[in-house]
Amino acid sequence: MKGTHLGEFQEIVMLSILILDENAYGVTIQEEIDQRMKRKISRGALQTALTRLEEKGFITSAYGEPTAERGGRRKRYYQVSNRGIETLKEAKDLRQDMWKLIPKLA
Amino acid sequence: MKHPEIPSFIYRIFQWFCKDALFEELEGDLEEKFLKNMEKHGRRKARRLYTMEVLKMIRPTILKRKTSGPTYQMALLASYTVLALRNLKKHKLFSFINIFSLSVAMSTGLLVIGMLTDLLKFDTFHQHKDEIYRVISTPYHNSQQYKTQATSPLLMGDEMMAQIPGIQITQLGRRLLGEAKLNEKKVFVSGIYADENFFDFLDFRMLKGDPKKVLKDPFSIVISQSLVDKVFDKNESPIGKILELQGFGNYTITGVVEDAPRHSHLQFEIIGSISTVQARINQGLIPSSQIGWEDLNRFYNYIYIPGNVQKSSVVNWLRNSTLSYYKEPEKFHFKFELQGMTKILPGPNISDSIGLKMIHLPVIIFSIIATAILLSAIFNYTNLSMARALRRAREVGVRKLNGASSSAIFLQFTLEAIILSLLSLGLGILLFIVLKPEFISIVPRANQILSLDLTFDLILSFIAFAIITGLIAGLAPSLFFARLSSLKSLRSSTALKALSKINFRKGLIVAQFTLSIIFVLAISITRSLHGYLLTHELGFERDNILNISLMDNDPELLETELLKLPEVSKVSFASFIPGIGNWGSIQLVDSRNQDSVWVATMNVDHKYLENLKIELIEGRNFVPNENKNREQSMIVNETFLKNFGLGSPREALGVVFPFRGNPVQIIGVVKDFHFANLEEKIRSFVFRNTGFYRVVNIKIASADLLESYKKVEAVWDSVDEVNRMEGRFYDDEIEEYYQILVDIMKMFGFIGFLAISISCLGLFGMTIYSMEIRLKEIGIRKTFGASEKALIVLLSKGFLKLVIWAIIIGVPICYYIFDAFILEQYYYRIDITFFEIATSIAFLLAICMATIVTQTWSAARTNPSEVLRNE
Repeated sequence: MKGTHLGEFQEIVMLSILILDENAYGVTIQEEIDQRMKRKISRGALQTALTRLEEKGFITSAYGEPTAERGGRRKRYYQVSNRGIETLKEAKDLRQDMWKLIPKLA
Repeated sequence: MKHPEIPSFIYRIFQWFCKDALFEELEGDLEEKFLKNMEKHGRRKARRLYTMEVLKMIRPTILKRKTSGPTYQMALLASYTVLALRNLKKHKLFSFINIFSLSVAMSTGLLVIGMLTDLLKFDTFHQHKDEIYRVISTPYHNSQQYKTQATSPLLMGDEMMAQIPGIQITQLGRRLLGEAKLNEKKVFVSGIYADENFFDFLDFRMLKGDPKKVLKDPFSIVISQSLVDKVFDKNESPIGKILELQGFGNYTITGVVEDAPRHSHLQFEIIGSISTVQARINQGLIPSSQIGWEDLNRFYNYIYIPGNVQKSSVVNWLRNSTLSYYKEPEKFHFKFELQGMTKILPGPNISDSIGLKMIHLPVIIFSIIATAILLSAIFNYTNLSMARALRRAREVGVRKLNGASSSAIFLQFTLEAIILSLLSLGLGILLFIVLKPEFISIVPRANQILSLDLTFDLILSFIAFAIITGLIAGLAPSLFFARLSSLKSLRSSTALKALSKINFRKGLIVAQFTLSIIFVLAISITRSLHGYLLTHELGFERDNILNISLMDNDPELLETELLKLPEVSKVSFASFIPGIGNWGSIQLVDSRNQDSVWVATMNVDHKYLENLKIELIEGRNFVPNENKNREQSMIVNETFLKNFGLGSPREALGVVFPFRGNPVQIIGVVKDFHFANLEEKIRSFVFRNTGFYRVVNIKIASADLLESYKKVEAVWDSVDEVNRMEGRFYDDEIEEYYQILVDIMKMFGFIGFLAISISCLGLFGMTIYSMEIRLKEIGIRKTFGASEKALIVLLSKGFLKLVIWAIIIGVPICYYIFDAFILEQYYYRIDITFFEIATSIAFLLAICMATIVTQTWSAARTNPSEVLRNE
């Protein structure tokens, strides 16, 4: 089922974008993941995930205005699309269902 | 733009590999992160983190993708080739200048490649070539180092075999040569001595005979296949036949060996068993000191050190243990070292070599010079291509607008350079074939060592060489055009002028002419030096003196017969010919401190001083027969008196020196004269009179020297029926001795000619291009009343300035090289004067002026109405 499958890292990236809301671009996503997951990821690795997600239509992106702090280069802001949110929810539901089925912990 | 603290190299790499669509976002992110890191961790760590981040960007999602497949690229290449050929055809002048200068320069480059290919092949046919070494030795006299020899003691071999297990040694000896009688035929043969281990690890092939036995017994000899072919019929067997070698005894032929490969430094027609040497010592024919540890200039030890034996054990043995074979090592000993088999030829300049020899220093120098010439031609290409920028910029601009990438433009221009270079190679190979015989004749001993045959391998390396040359030549123009932005190149031409790297090109021209002036000055100085050496007063008269070799003739008989000729006025005898670098040596004891001192010596008869007009300033000459029974008198030079502290010439008369125990008295003192050559300072010198002569000096009274020579030859033939006369006039003898300088001049002359013609062609092209560009300017100037003369001065000034800069740089360099290295070789030498410098500069300037002014002149004469008409 290629095209809709959601990897663990991709899921985290999408959740980070949702948390950051209006301010989700490369550096902030990277920092969010760094802090929350206590795990250093490279910008390159992040880019791969972002590209894949965009290909699947789970996120969309748009350039912002140029800012002086990055040598006049524009930021690219990411947003999770409706389809993305649906997929996230599906993934979450699936897990919850499965959690419920575990006899001892329930 | 990027932040200045970001490492720009890394930045550029990133820019190069990152997809254009992603670059802005990613680079922005990286920079933002970098700035944060700088605040947090400081500059160094931030830079390191940045680099790490960039390296981690190398992944498929980010890397640029190839835009095209292979067929597309082939089509592109084909199209570029067609374009390049069209361009070459269209710009005939440009193509001519470049092909001519590149092919001329390449021909010297090809000579170097051919030479190196030949030289590097030497001695590589031995299977264990990297494990075979030769022992070389350097004498130390009172801790002063003398010249290294290729020889080592014959006695060393057995000692070494006994003390270092596992190694193998073969011992060789040199100079087994002379007239031989074999199978009723007389032939001249030359070869070496070797022991029975010779065939163990040296890969020479035995054709007949057992390699282990053929060289075991004394007076055995192995002969080469070519000698067999020369002397014997097809079905005759040479084995067991006797070879009579004049002066060396009779040898029994025990085997036949294949001729030594051409690329072997050891060459032989005959190989005599080295045990013969011991046999001849036992017979009392040669002194036993020849094989000892003190007097070693005849024998060689070649060692095979197999992989399981440490090389250092041999090196240490040679360095430390050999000292015990000398009575007083601190006073006199030899230092022994190993020389690798493949390092012998080409190798360092060591004396007493066996077989072929080629010193590596001249090879290196020649290679450097050829590289410099080639660079000069490459500069021409670079220079002219950039000068054409104005014309081709439009082409590049249009291409880029139509979507050509930088790399495509780069490829196009590089390919153009390579095609041009390959075309030049064709002409270059023709020149190479023409120059080959002359080159081989100039380089000493080259006829035996170099073949320069055009083999398939050699041609392949030539092609590789041409491609590399093209790549280098095309690099600067290709980069320049590839970087050109389409906007700039399509705008007005004035904007481009600043672009076409004028200073860079000027630098190239200065470099070319610096090389040229160095060669011109070098020729001029060598010429002066040669003239000086030939005409320098040697302290004796050499006019009309004919020197001939005495050989084994009776001096008295020859003299009587020669004096019968009316053309011969005087005849004298000597052991050496002074002035051309040969002399004998004898050890005398200085009575003041009991030190043994080597002094130069020569044997002469009583007519010698008079014949050569060597001035006797005190005392008397030898009288006939006074030293016949016992040597009792000698004549010394002024320097001798000074060095031995004997006071005035008068005081020195009667002083006695023991010659190997025998007291000999000074009976006369001569004025100092150049007994050696002009490279050596005049040292202490002794004339002896013991009757050991090798040379006859004949004073010719007649003016017709050639006719007299023939008559002397007729007399010689009546006295000596076996040998032909070997004679030369003294002047010719000296001229020949300094012939090397003429050869150097020829070489410099040829290379200098190349350097100058290449540079001038480049200058010529540059002038033409720059005149084309300035044609309008000239027209305007003329309309405003500028005279032709003023225009010529104005247009030529810039180029002349470059030439003058080259002179300012080149003259001191050449002066220094000659003063410190080349003239330094001669003790009696010239100083570089204003004359040599001024003539060289004048010569170079004249050529450059001619090149420039012909072009500026025709430019200045153009009718302004024609150039200004259409705008």
